[in-house]
Amino acid sequence: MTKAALIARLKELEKNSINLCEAHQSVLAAERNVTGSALRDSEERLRAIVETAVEGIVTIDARGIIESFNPAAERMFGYAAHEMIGRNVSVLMPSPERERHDGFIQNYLRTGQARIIGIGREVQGRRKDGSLFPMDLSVSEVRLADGRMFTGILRDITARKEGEDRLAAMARSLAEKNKELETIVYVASHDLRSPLVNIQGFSQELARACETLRATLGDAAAEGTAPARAISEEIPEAVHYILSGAAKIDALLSGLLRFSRLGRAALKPERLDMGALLRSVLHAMEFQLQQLGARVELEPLPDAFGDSTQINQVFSNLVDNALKYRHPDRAPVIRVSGRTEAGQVVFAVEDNGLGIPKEHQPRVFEIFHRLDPTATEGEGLGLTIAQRSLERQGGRIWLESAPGRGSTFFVSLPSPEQMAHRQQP
Amino acid sequence: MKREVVILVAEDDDGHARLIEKNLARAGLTNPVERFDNGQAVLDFLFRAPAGRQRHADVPYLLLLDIRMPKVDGIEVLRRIKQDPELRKMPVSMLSTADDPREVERCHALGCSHYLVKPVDYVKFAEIVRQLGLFVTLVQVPQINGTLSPSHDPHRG
Repeated sequence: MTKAALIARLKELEKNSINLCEAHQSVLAAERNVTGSALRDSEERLRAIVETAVEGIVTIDARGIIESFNPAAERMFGYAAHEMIGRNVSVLMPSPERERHDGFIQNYLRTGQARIIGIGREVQGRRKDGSLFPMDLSVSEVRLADGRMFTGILRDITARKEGEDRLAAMARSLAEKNKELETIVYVASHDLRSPLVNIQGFSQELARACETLRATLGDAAAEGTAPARAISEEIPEAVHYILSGAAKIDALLSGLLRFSRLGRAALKPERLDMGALLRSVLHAMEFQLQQLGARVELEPLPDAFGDSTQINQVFSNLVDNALKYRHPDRAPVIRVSGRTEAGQVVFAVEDNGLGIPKEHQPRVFEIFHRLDPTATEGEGLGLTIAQRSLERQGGRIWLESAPGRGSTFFVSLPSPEQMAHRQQP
Repeated sequence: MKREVVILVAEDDDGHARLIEKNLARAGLTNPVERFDNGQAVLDFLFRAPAGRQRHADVPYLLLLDIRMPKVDGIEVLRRIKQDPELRKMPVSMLSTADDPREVERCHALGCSHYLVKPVDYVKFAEIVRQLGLFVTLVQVPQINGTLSPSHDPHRG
């Protein structure tokens, strides 16, 4: 082979090889194109998610330098992404976090002790105009081949905080009002009773003086003259009405005082053996029950969670009411039952008494409301106190009643299991 | 010589004071009564302030003390009496228009002998005053002779 022929042959070979290479490479390129478009596709999707997220998304490197800043973050802080990329993220924080942030990151990288990474918390953000706003911030860590990156997801919670602040302010003002009310009731029941002492005391003095006069006048008093009538009838009658009016004010005032005290009384909630509690309630009323020929059916009761003294009072009251408003034609039958329902315990005190007409039912819990003031004794406080006391203990009271057939009062209380859950979240 | 017990009445309401006096008299308690219409006045008397009435060393006293009074209230008067080594032996019965359990407890903790709620049951009231009077006579007589241990206080456990 001549030198020229050899060269020509080599050239040919080279050309082929190039062709081969080209062929190979175009195949590879085609393959790359497929993966590339898939990659681009998923990248686009991710970018779209980040771009359209309602939450601000900011990524920083291990030195705290911002690498990306999404539109929601732009809106939140008033900075454009291009202004922020490359800057230290501490720009977005108020003092003293602003000065301490680099230290936080370094500390985390050194010790692995996270203050916020992987946890999230409520922090303050600083806008471009210097104003501050509350935000929820959660930070996650991304480990890359060439280092680490942190992603912060932020949510502006200004509206929620304002709502919370309003609620807190309202709760404060309610607590103040409540305290004010208690003071008024306390002072009223103390100070209003003071003149009452004089009205009652001196009415009695008057009655006594009258008695003395009558005794002195002797037979003359029996003659029916005007002065005699005044001494033996008119003055005593007047005194009687003054005294009974004063006694009524006295009863109302002590009722008010008792009610206001209830709001202040310290509660000692504990697991209550309701069967034992009801037995002790009934034991204390045994005489009354016997006298009226009442029968009590006490079913097995679930345990409840509450203040033993106050719950005892609630049930004493309900049983007492069942007797007080018994039907005149039949002996009272009272059935006490209980069940567990959606984590709560519900007790029912059912009677066969007079019953309460529908239109009166909502009013039975009103303070000083009494169904039949002439027929029964009492201040009209029992159910009001029961309701207040149960509400303070996370319970409730309501009733069902059919006039002429009887009433059932329901009492709900937290179950001991429910309270155990609440105490160990 | 045995001295008659003087009943001190610290009560700002004239009507209440009058009712107390009348009912004590009606119950046959003829002891002298000294009235004070505010807490400071009774403290001045007991602690022998230079002006005005002063208590005597050899007269046995018992005090009926209203709680709500101007200037110094009854609870403060009770507190100061019970802090004084000599005065603390004097029986003090509180008078109040309300039976607030916290107030009752506070007064008993401070060392009052009784806590009476107005409007009082005057029969019971007179009986209590009579007993206190008897008690103060018994305590006071040996005290005058100097035989009673000064630390003795029947109101404290």
